[in-house]
Amino acid sequence: MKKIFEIALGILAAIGGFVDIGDIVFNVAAGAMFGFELLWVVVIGVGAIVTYSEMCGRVAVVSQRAVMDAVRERLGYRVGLVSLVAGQLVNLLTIAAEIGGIALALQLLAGLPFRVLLVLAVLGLGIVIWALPFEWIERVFGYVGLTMLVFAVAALKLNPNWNSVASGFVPHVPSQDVALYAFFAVGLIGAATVPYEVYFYSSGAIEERWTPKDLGLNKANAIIGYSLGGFLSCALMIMAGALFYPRGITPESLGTVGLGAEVPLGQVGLVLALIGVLFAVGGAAIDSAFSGAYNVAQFFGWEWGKYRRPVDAPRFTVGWMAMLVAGFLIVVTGVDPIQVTEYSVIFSVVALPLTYVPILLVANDRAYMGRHANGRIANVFGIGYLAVILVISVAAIPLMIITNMGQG
Amino acid sequence: MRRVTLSILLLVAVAACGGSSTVSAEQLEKQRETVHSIAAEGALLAADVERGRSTPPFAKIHSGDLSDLADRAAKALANPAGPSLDAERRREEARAVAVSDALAQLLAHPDDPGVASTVRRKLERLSG
Repeated sequence: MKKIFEIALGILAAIGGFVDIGDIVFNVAAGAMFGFELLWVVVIGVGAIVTYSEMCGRVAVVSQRAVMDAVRERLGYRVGLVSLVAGQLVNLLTIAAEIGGIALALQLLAGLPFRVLLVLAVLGLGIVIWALPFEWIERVFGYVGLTMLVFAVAALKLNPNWNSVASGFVPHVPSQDVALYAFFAVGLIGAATVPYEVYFYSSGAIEERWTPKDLGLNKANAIIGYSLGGFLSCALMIMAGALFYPRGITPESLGTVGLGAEVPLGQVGLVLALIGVLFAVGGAAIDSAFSGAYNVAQFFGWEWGKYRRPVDAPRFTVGWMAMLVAGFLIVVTGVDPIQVTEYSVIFSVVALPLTYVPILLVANDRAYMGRHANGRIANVFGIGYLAVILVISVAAIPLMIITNMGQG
Repeated sequence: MRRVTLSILLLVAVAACGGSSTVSAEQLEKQRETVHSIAAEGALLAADVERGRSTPPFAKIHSGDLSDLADRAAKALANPAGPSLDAERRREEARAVAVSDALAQLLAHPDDPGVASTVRRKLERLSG
């Protein structure tokens, strides 16, 4: 019974923790521009993150080494270094976008000046990371992030054409605006598969001291948690498709996302939506700060882990603090956080193979994984999604240029 | 070689200047869509303020953001267009300014249902 309860708590945290600022921006924009036509892409993105999270969680459980650690050991210094640099650059853009997103959500809730809220956001994140144990951080942000389910209620209340919604899950290519459609497809997959998620997931397995007995928990968390998280992404797109698409509204700011809950549900819907966004994005900011610190510490073989006291893992502690400060410095220059989000997602797509190829190789290494190496099903999905990832990583930059970053 | 490089630089400079000083048909269409989008979204927001379904901080910040976007569109439309497009460009510029002004009213009175009602009607007309 206790085990089932633990699994349920983990899954709930995974649902609330799945959505970040990139998912919010791309799902709402895709719904506003193409209605329900891109829902099938969300399914592909969720499938990819489920497959690779399960894989890297399994690697962590079996080897007691997180992704970057295993990559460095099994694939050598050079491959590891390329993977580290690419991952860190994307992490940096991601954390800047998430910190900007926190300040925007706070501003919409409180009406205070943006830069003041940026400072408060970074200080708040620092205090939370310093003061709370790992499990609490993950769960508090995951659970409160669940208030984003208000977007599912909003989508229902807007009474969309359910036949159109259902046909959106069938893969197809439109007859016009193909490049723009492809750009959003790339962005949606990129937003669902951002590298920090797998780095954080595998390091989290070590932080929570998972053993081979927890392989079932790993599978349940990855499959059920991320799939239900994908449900939130679909809810955002359906809401936008039902409310903004028919009116020709193209979202340009986070306020449009809040309006998506306010119009059908009033003040309560608005406040719940903004709190959900705040905690989902806040959780993602912490995940990406940790992810940056995990990667560097694991690559260079330093002590790491939130379960250690800061004095016992000083370079890891400095690492997550540096990530927070660097993200803050990027966004405090005055760049638009929504634009930073779009760039972070598109550049993360370019770097995706450098994260996902090593995971697949290590998970297939029988000398390393023993009987827990990838089986046939894991490889069919792993290779299939890798092919998708390779295609979109090549297409991302040309599509960004052709569509003027999705502006058409 | 130096002459070729200079010529290329000159061409790039001329192209860059030319690109920013006139509004093409494509840019005009894009800005028209942007202004329509801002007006339609502003009308939804104003309707919620009118019915007491929004919060003052949200209405203030979001109407301010939308007003800034409309300002940006008006500035982009302030550059001259070709003779066949100029009348339309002026109309769109005036529409962008009107949308921005209406949203600025909501920004100044984010909790006044009366002002919101006026703004909503104006924005509904401008988004039509």
